[in-house]
Amino acid sequence: MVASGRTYIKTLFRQIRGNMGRFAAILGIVALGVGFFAGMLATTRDMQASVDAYYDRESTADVFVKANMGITREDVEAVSAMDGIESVMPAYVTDALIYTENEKPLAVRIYGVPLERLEEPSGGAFINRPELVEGRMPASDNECLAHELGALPTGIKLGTVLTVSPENRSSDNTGDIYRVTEYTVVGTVASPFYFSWEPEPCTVGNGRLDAVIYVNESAYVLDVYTDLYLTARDAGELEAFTDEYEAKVEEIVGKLESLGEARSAIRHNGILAEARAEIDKAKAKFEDAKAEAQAELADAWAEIEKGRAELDDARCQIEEGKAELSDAKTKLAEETTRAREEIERGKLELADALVELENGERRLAEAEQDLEDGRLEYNRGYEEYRNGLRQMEEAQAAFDRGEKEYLAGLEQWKAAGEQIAAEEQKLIEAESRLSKAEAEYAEGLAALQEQEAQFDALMSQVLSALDASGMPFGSAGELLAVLEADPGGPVHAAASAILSGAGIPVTPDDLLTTRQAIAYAEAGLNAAAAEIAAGWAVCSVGRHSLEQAGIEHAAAKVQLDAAGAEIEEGRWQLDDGWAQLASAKSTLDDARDRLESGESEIAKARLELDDGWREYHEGVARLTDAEAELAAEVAQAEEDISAAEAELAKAEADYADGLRQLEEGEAEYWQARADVEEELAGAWQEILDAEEGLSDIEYPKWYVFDRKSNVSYASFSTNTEKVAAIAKVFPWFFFFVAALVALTTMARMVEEERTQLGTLKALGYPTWAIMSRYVVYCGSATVLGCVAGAFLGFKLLPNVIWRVYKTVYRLPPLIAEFRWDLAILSSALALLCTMGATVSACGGALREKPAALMRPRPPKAGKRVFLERIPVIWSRLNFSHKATARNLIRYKRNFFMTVLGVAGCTALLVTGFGLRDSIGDLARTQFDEITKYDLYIGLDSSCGDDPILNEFLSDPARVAQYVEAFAETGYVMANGKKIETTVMVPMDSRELAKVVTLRERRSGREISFSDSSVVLTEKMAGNLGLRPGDTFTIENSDGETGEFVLSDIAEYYAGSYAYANRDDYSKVFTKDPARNVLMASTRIAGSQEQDEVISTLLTSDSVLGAQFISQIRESLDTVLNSIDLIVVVLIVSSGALAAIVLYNLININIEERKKELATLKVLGFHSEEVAAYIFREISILSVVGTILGFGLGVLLHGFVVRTVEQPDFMFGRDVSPLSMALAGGFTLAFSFLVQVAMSPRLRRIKMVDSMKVIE
Amino acid sequence: MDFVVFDDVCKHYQMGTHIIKAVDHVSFAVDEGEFCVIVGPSGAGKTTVLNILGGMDSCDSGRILLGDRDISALSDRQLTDYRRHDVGFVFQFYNLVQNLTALENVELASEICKDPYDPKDALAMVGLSDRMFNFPSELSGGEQQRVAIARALAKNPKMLLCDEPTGALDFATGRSILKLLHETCKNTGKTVFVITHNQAIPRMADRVIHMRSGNVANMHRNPNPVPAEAIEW
Repeated sequence: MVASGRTYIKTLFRQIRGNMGRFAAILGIVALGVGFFAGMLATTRDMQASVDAYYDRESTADVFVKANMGITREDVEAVSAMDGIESVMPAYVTDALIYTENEKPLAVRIYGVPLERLEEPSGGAFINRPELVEGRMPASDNECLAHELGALPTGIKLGTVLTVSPENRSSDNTGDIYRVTEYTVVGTVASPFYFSWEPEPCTVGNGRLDAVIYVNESAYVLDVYTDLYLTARDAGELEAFTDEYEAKVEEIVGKLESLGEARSAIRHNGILAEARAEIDKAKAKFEDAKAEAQAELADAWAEIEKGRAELDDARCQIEEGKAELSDAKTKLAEETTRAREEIERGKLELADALVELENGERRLAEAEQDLEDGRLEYNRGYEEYRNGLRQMEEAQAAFDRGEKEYLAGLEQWKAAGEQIAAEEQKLIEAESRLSKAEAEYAEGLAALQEQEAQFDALMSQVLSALDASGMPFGSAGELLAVLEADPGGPVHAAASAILSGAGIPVTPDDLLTTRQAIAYAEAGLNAAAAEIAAGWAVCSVGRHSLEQAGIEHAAAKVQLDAAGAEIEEGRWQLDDGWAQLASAKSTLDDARDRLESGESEIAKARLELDDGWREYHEGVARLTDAEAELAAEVAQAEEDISAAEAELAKAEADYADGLRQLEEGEAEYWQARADVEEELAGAWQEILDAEEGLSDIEYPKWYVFDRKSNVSYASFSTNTEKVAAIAKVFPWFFFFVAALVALTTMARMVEEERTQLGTLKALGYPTWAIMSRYVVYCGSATVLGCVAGAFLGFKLLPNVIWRVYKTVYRLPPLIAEFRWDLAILSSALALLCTMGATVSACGGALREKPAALMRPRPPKAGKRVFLERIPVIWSRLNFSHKATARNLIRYKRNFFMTVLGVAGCTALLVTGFGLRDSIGDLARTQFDEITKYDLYIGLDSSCGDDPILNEFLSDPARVAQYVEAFAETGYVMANGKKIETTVMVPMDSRELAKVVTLRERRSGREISFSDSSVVLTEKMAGNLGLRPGDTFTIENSDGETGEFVLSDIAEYYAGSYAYANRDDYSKVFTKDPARNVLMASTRIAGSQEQDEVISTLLTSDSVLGAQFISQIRESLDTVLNSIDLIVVVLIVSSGALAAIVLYNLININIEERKKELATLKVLGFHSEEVAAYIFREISILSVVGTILGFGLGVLLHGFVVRTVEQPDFMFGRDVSPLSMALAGGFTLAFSFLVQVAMSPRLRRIKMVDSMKVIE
Repeated sequence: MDFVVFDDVCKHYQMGTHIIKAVDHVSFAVDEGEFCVIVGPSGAGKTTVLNILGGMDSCDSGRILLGDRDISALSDRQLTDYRRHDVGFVFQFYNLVQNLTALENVELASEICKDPYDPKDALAMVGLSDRMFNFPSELSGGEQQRVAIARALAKNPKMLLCDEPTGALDFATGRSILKLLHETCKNTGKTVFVITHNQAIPRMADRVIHMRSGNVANMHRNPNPVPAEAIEW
């Protein structure tokens, strides 16, 4: 290697990391290729291995034998003794109609097998082991196992009780086959013999097997087995579905067929001997029967005689009955008349009573009205009385008030008089007191004058004494004033001394005192005089007011008297008012009494009237009852009479019947007698016939089948082969693209590292060492891709396809193995592609001289394109379009890689969508346009007219039209090939068009089938390489061969047919074709109605089978649905393909033109303009690739369709425009998405890159 | 009259742990119609200046004015338009689109701008009228560089930015290219920037900017530029 391991690996990792995108692209495309290739191839093998393992686990029969006359124990032993047989298991297998509790009969296959052996640890050499899914094993003969729902249309629940219908056509004596006819389902099972959902044919019911049950073999009473199952030694190791296996088994089939012939001869002799013994037994039985019949006839005659006597008795009884009945009728009439009369009378009485009652009502109403009036008047009066009373009471109250006032006034007047008198008295007394005081006053005045006189006298003495003594005073006053001013003073003493000296008995103080006393007395007298004068004034005023009061008192007396008179007058008036009111009151009370008595009278009248009504109504009811009773009685009586009549009539009829029966009995007796004799003769003849017919006994035949005759095996086998066929084609594409991806990527890488390469080379490294770098880089991507692809492929594809097939099969778990051989094979292929590409990419560069390598590589020269020669277009293009146009041509590798990758993507999509179209076409075109009949009936040609069938066919509500034909399974041979087909000869050539549209597919030209036409269906004609006008050979079911000239080839998808006209067929073959099929177009739509029709038809002896086409169509629809999953897988992988290729291209373009792009950016191109510069190219390439892909897709689709087709099925060959559009649309969408995802890469290009040195 | 102004422009790059100051406080001003040579050794920051001036890169700080327009404030989209209409680039390795003829390479530029020269006239200006239908691979290096100059000119830009235009050419051809650039500058009145590490070229410039380690070491007007024919290296 170039350098030490570690450095080398480091560089390698750096290289990978630096070019992650490319590495991933190579890895991805390789993974895609390897995944598809290895996965698809593994799918077929996984599918087959999974089912093979299932077969082995349940020790499924490799071969099974059915014999028309059964298989004896000796036969079984003979087979066991054969070479190459591992184990053998005989079984009773019959189809029967079975009723479940819900009364719909099911077509059920009943396996009578040694179920107890299933529970033995080794499986007890049980072949076709049913695997218990739910429930338990049967413990007795009337328990059974039922096949689970899934592969078969009807699942039977645990606990269901099944009853074998006695109407099984194949067993008009069910008891001869089954010992037990009632089974309880105790377990459900799955069996490798029934895992396909395709309908299993069946000999009862509507021709389709509904369910399978397993019972103990002891539930059967057959003395021979019907079926024999065996496994071949050495076949177990061989995988089912492989050619080796099938060849191995065919070998055994051949041997068994020859053994069957030998065993059949032995069996034939055995049957003959048995038959002879039976004839002898029949003869003995005949004699017994004869004697028995004669005895029975004698008994019958005795019974006829007895019957005749009984009839005569009956006649007498009838006559008696008639007489009684007529009596009863007369009596009834009389009694009825009487009762009617009584009722009429009652009715008249009631009418009178009604009139009276109504009168009473009217009167009562009048009285009530009167009473009501009275009551109104009374109320009015009473109201008036109340008013009067109130007025009276008011007047009385006023009067009482006046009287009281008057009396009070009188009292006041009297009191005033008394007061006046008292005042007068008081006045008189006061006047007397005044007179007395006047007298007293006069006396006082006299006393005073005397005292004054005395004092004056004294004074004059004193004065004189004083004067004398030397104290002169002018007057007494003067002296007194001095004394008074100087009490006790010198004057005083001097005066006193003088007086005493003078002998005058008085002191000065006495003088003063005396004079004061005189002053007082004088003042008192003056006061008394004033008082007296005032008293006289008061008295005079009092006298005056007293006089005034006297006058007023007298006037009051006059007024009082007038008031007293008025009161007296009022009292009279009041008394009058009261008297009037009392009389009104008594009148009102009288009126009220009258009203009350009136009311009670009316109430009484009402009661009486109500009584009357009640009586009346009772009378009416009684009458109605009486009438009803009469009617009921009459009806009862009449009924009794008619019952009696009916009884009588019946008796008569019975009698007549009896008589007829007797006559019939007699006739029957004679007839029976004749019959018995005839029957005996017939039986005897039969015995004789049987003796003769011993030679005509059906010859026993063994039918030996291998697994290919098992519906499930055959169908599964075909389908796995289809997968294999596709696996061989599809993945190549991916490898091719992988090589291109590797080539472009490695070329680019080598170019980028040119200088480095040159350096290494200059340093003296050998070419292989330099190249190994790239080989290892690309190789490691490839190896990783292989690993990823193989793992994904082995894991994913088988599972997806297995899942698709699970929709039509009940499959065991998938055994998806890692298949080393396939992994290595596909990896080797992938490595071959990428390594080849790497070497060729490096080779060119490494051949150059180191010096040349170290120089920057001259930029790839521009080239002119043809478009430039058309200046009209070229001059219109801007530089970016021009550059695109030149780039497209310049980088051829990129161009091819991209166009192919995109084309592959489109092609895959076209194929996927096209497959849907094809199968859709098959279903649609075949069943909507070509096949116009919907009911196919197989007939027993030896049977004549059949009432059930004729009734059905002539019912226009059910059958629109039908065509009779002869059909047989034969072979068409030409150019050394032989194809099994149905040879169909319409009874009337021109009628065929009524039920089948024969036309040329491409032109759509109608083929009119005539008496000289011989038409093959397209698929078969194509396989045989036949064209109209060619001669070919038909081998019919009898093994005869004859030549026909092909007149036309007809479009046909489901099945293959050779339509021959009757004339040619009869000319070529010895057999004259008789009708054995009917193709009918019906008006029966619902599946339930269809089932009913088929059940009805199968009850007819001449109908061997009948099937509605819609059932085939339904199974096609299921397949169509599962195709969708495949389409999804194709979309995903084509998307991945397109993504990888476009990613790679864009990646390379960007790397390669980084500088150009940077320059454009520097020149001021907007990012969208820069993107357009790159992506325009991608878009153009995508469009070119898509267009190419359409072509490729159509081719690929054609191939797949032809591969997937089964021999007698032709799929539609055309891809619809919608599918094309979808495929194109998806592709362009993928391209667009990748561009969107890559545009950030463009944005990341730095403008400074434009400055860099050219690499 | 200052036409192009670099005002205290900085541009730093983070290189691992340390920061490289590619352009460190660079300021200069150039008049319209001048033939300006930026000279300096490798790593002096010449190309960064050119990138920033050409709108291919942005500065971290400072202002760049073209006429009265502030280039440093433009958005990416505006920068693209700026490159589209105002700047003509001439690369060391010509950067012609190999798949287009000489004329188509010029059209490539003229097609996208507002007031372009006729591509044929542009080619005539650089003396390549007779080679316009040739692919780049059919032209010599000098001729390719002429196409590149024609492409830059055809856009009728405000200035031409030339990054080592003679770097890939031999002496004689290089000199003729310099002559062409100089004539273009004088004939069309466009401001021309030439970036070079060639110490001989500044002699023909109207203005010389010496750069060293991200700084302007010296800037001066050349009082008497010599004609291109006179310089040698």
